[in-house]
Amino acid sequence: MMVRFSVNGVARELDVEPGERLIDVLRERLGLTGTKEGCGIGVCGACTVLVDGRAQNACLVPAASLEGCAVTTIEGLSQGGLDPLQQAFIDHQAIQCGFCTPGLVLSAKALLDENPAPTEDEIRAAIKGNLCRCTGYEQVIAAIASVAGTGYRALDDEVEAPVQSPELRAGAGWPAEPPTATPVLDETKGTVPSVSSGGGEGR
Amino acid sequence: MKAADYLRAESLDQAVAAAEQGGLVLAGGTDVMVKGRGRGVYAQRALVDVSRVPELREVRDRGDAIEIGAACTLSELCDDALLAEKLPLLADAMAHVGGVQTRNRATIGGNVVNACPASDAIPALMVLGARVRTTRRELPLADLFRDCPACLRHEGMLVRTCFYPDAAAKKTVLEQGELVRSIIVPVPAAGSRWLFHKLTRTQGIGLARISIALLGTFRDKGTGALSEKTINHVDVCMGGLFSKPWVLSAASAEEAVAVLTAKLEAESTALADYDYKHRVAPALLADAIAAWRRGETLERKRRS
Repeated sequence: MMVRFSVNGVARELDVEPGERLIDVLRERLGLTGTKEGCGIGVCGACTVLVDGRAQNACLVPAASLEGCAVTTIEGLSQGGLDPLQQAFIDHQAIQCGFCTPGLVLSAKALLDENPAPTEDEIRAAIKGNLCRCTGYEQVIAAIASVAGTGYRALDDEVEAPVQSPELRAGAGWPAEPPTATPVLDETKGTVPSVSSGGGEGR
Repeated sequence: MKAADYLRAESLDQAVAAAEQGGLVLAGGTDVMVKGRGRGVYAQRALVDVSRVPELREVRDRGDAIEIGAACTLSELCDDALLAEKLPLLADAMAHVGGVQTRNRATIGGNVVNACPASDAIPALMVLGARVRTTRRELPLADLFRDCPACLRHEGMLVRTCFYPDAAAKKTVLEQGELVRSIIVPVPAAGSRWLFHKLTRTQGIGLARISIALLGTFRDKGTGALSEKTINHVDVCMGGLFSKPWVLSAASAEEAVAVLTAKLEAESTALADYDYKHRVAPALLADAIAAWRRGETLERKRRS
């Protein structure tokens, strides 16, 4: 059946099958493979696209339902250079394998378009439907917050001054301050921080 | 996904006519598109898309109740100022459904008609005493559902393990060609207090293992005035446990737990994961009532 909708600003008129999914139209017919299929059952968010500005899972959208709609995929975000969100994901290393990234970026885009100054809780709620197996989300949240300019504590390695709390430093997983010549005893753990020269016992 | 045809219904009459001819009604498709994947269960059926039918898209303030069009999406309803003010329990329950992407498509009518025991909206609607207006009649929500013993058999209550491609035909009393128009939700009495909690396997977007909606009032024994010291009555509906939504009414926490425990024991051989659920459900109920009395929630606090 015929359906007319736009994809990344380009008007399309397509003859689709009755139950054909939007993700198949994007990937198979239009060659827009930036949209990834993860679970195919609307759980992982890898196939997130914007339909009339709202995040939706393309694996659950019948293409035939889209008459008159405007669809934006990840390709549509980087026309004429990267979107600030994409650049922020790179800058904050919010990517490892990258499979979830297009969906995460579009969920973030939908959030910031509607709410330019979200709190950290609002950012977390907005990406709750996007599963990421690699990053642990912290960098993703920092990236989104950096574009919004709000709400989120900077990651430890972005802090200029050393982190004050010994608990935070011990658990951070990366050095918060440069190695010092003299090992400093971390009294809360009873161990020597591994970044100190000559230390590292028990590691 | 394979289907025989696809109709974008533009009016309720058009949708009813197509459904009478055997079409399968879908709105957001968040359940249908999953069930239809791979198994070809809709290959012979026309899909009737009601998501743009104007009659199904309204929210109307009827004073003592709010009438919610069946094709309103959960996102629209979560953002609705009238619901936030008058029916915060329902708004909170719907905010627990999936992620943003799911709520942007899923509808309240679809959630009800799909009749999943792990539904987040149904327990809230049940304790609120909601009624359902169909294209043929109006009935209490509790009477819409038919017993579905198969619902108890699949652990996790996942959409893709639901045995019935046409949930409305199997799990509700809706007849062929009968559509839910709206859900009519009474505004709770002044002085009542609510609580909703969804127990999931992870803190992410999983379906409820057990969910609980509470609504009730307090009364002081001496003066008879509403007070926080004594429960007057509490209505509880728990999801993920029974073959049909059911409201437990009690006057004390002890009574509520005893009634729940007896009801659970009666289905000890039917409920998948009974060993876990018969321990956890009564504890969750007791916790929920205690938190509700204190005016707290059971939501986990995130470390900052």
